[in-house]
Amino acid sequence: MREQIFEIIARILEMDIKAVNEKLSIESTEKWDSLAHLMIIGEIEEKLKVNIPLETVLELSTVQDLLDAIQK
Amino acid sequence: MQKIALLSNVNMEPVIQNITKKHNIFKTTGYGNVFEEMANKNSQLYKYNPEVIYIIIDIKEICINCESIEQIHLEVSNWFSLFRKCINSHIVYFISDVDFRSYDMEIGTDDLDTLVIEQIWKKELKNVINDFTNIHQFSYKKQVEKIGKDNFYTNKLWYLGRIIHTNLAKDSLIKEIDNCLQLLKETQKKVLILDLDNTIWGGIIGEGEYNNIELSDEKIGLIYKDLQRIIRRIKNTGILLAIVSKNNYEDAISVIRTNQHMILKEDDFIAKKINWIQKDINILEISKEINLGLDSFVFFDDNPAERELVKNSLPDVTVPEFPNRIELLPKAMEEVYTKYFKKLTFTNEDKERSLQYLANSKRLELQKKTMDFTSYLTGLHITVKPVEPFLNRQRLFQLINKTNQFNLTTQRYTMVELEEIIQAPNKKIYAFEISDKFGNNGITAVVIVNLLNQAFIDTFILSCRIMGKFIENYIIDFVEKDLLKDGYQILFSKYIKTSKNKPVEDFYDRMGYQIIEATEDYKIYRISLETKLDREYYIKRS
Repeated sequence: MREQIFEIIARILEMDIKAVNEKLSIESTEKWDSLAHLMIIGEIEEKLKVNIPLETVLELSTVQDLLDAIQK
Repeated sequence: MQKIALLSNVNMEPVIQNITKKHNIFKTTGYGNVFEEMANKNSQLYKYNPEVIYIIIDIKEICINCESIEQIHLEVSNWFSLFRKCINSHIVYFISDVDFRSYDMEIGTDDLDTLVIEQIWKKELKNVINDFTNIHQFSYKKQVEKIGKDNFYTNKLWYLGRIIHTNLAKDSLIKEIDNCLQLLKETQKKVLILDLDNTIWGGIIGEGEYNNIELSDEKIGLIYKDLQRIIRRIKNTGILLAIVSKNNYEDAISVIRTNQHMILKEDDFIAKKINWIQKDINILEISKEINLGLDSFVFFDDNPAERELVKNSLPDVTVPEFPNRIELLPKAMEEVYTKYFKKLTFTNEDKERSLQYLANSKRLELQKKTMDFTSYLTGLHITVKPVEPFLNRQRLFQLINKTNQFNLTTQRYTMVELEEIIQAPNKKIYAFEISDKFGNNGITAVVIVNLLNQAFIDTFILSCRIMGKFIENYIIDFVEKDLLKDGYQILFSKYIKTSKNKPVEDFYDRMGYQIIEATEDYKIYRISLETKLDREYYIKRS
């Protein structure tokens, strides 16, 4: 699952999958704008058949946050 | 590569971003801007100069404030009359039919049936397609039906970012956009060549056994009968049918003449090559007989060896795949129709009809009306309200750090820095809440000015939600007048180039600022606040 998520993030942010790690954050990633954020959430939810509550989507700021939200 | 544009009243960015990889597509400035782009001759859209424009409309947004069917009629006919004024004969348009994405309109009323609403749109769409040869339908509702509403729409992304489409829907829309482009490119096919055995009926005819084939009103027989019904419909659109089949002529023709389930009749075929000669040779002969090029032929045959032969020996003939599951046969023929025979370009007769149409009074009427962007903007009842920055610092923080397009300097600030700016005596921050008749867009503009000896615009940001409506003209005017009141006669500003803010690279030039320093990466401007010209904007005074 982790790999699948990393693949989605890397593809949408147009970056090397090797550069994706838990610490990657919205703040430090220029391409991770609000649109990219929604595209990432949308695709993860659909592909992994998970639900990330809307309120949580607004609070996520790192890849780790994202992983935590899905594990909940 | 063709230059295309996709406009919509909802956020289509995910689709557009995906298409970028395959086509040359217009990067919209903001979203929801259909008429902002189309009615304004100087818009970014026309600078881009598209050859094909797709317009995908979410009907729910169009009638969000409607409470009766009459109001919906009015909104839809307004939309189309505005659209008609924007039509450019050099551009090909694909306008979507619509799907009402929820059923909430139906609550408590019998009138506002979603199907009825969709029909209102469709009727107007048909009219405009009939009136103009360069306008075609984009089949949107079909995409929804294939996937189902629940899989097509997302509530979460809608509330978070005005995106209504799921990933699945996005892929489906991209495919349809591709199909339309393909149709534009393809030469119109005119002839459908059919095999007989196991193609338009099941089984193989033997000598004297004319009713031994699968063609009936049930099970496998019904599949072939349905297939024949579709082929007959295709024929009725003006497509020519021909038979190329390896059989004894007498046996085959007897089946066609006498089998009671045959939908296709002998006379439906303009040529019947029922013999034991190679199929490619037969096809060539038909081409000579009816004097049509091989590129207008489609060859449909269940036998892969025959398909391979024709493909190799007559590469101009289109040879679609044959479905590997028998129940998909009628559907496969439907696809053959949409892919190769569906009319996109009009026949000469159609063209004449529409020319006649254009010659009548309505044409004069259409030409008299100029592009009336002004009255559209006035009709939006846009209001701009300055708000207190400190109370709204969370939202300002977000705007400053996440806006990329309409952002003149892309200067990012942390929360601490922002709070300092708000309180600093030598800085001034302006924030604006913007609404129109469709609702409140919230705080969607922020300007930061540095006040040392001179006034200098440090930050000028507008959310993409409100771009394209001359709101920025009002805002800069507001700021300039305020600074002039404070005693500043000269105002400086700056544009810093990023990969995303190209749409505003000449913003200050348009506002009448003079460049005093320019490099590849930035431009510095100045304007005299006492002598500056009036600006064009359409803001309702509240």
